[in-house]
Amino acid sequence: MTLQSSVTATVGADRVEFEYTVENVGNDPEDLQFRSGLKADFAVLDGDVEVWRASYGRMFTQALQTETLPAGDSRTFPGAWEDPDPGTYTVVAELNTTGPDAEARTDFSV
Amino acid sequence: MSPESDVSRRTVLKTTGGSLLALGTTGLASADPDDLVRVNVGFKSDRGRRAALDAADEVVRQFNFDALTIRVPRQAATALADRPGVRYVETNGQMQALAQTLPWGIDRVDAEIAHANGDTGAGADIAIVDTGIDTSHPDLQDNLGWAKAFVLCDSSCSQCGPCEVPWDDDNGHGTHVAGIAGAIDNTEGVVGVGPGVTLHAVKVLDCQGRGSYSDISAGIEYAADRGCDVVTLCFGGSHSLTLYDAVRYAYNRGVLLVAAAGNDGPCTDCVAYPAAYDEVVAVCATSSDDSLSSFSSTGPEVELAAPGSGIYSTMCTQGYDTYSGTSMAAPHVAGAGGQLMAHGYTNVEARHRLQSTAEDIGLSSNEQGYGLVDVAAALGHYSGDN
Repeated sequence: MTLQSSVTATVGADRVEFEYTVENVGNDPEDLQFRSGLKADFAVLDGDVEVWRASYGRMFTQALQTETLPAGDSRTFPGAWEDPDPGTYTVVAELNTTGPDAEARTDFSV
Repeated sequence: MSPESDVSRRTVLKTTGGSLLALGTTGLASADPDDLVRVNVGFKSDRGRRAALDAADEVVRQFNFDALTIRVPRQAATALADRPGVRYVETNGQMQALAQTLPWGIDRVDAEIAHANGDTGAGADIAIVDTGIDTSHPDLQDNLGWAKAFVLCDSSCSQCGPCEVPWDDDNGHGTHVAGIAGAIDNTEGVVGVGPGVTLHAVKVLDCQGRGSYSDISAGIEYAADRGCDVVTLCFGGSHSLTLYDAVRYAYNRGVLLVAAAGNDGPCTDCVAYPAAYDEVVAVCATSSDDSLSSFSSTGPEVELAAPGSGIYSTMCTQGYDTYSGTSMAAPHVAGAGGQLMAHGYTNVEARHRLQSTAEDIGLSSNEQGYGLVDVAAALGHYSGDN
């Protein structure tokens, strides 16, 4: 696998903004074949319990879409959790593709 | 544009029927640009002659006067008309150049047999509850009825150019779905399962292809209130109580609801909502060899299978494109439902008819449900299952 991923969480006054980056660290272009209109998803965990998911409350087109990520390039997906309760959490970000999910996670506190 | 190309354009426009440009550059740009077409090229200088020869895949005939008959990719034929020294580019007799393509999926579900027997779905109303429909598409325009937008068409993020009307397609998905269900039977582009149906754009998904439970539910409610026969639900997500209420509301008002099973495959027992609701016909996707599309979700809720891999259909900005997904499978079934309801079937009767006439393609019941939808068989025409 030549995809490397990372996610950051920036805690603001009434929201937490996430930025999930997937980088092609290989020498060849990588095709990302997204399964649907949902290209990447974020889940917030409190311990083992999922307390929020970005895709929740929405439906997505069910057609495949392919994007090519050239060698050395990266693609960033934004997300935002509104009105979070105070606490310590983990955000898990992953691609919704037919290939590797390129999961990334990081801890943050509100 | 140079004066010279002005002249060649006018010359072409003056000619009748067979001219490429007289049929509209849309028609040319639309179908597969790499398709080879046979054209007659008139030139007025050696430069024009060379341009034609250079573009040609094959030279069919060289006249003693200043003209050639060549085989050339469609795209090159269009470009050739504007080249210096070219007097005209005219399609040759048989009109193969602009002939309508029969997409493999339409052929596989035997919709073309229904068309040959005079069944077009005329009188049926199909709501495409989706990202909108390209309102100026030549292969759809004449089939469009009322429309409504529950989300903004957003020119700033549109992948389809500026929004002309609120229910215009800013993503492309809805236009593709619409063409599978009901592209017009004409001399260009593609043909849909029900080329005579009325298509209603109900825009509930944004330019990125996502929509909220509330907006989607409002779109379904609206389509039901307007008396639609069929709605396509080519999206998926998790269970929503509101959406479930909307689905039941529509079903109880006589609407046939057809949804994409989801693209989470290979997986088992993974049909997405709203396809997973009892009131909704869940459609999984197949490839041209009748195998299950690798991405297709499967499960006990799957009711029918339909073509979903490599499906050529209408695209926004008056174009055409090939997409894969259970989103492409569902409108084959929706068009079939429209064909039946045009004959007076209720939503429940149409559903049972589609089930009982589906073709067994040898997949498990969680993969194919009752089988591959068969439009001709559903309408009582002999299809030979070819």
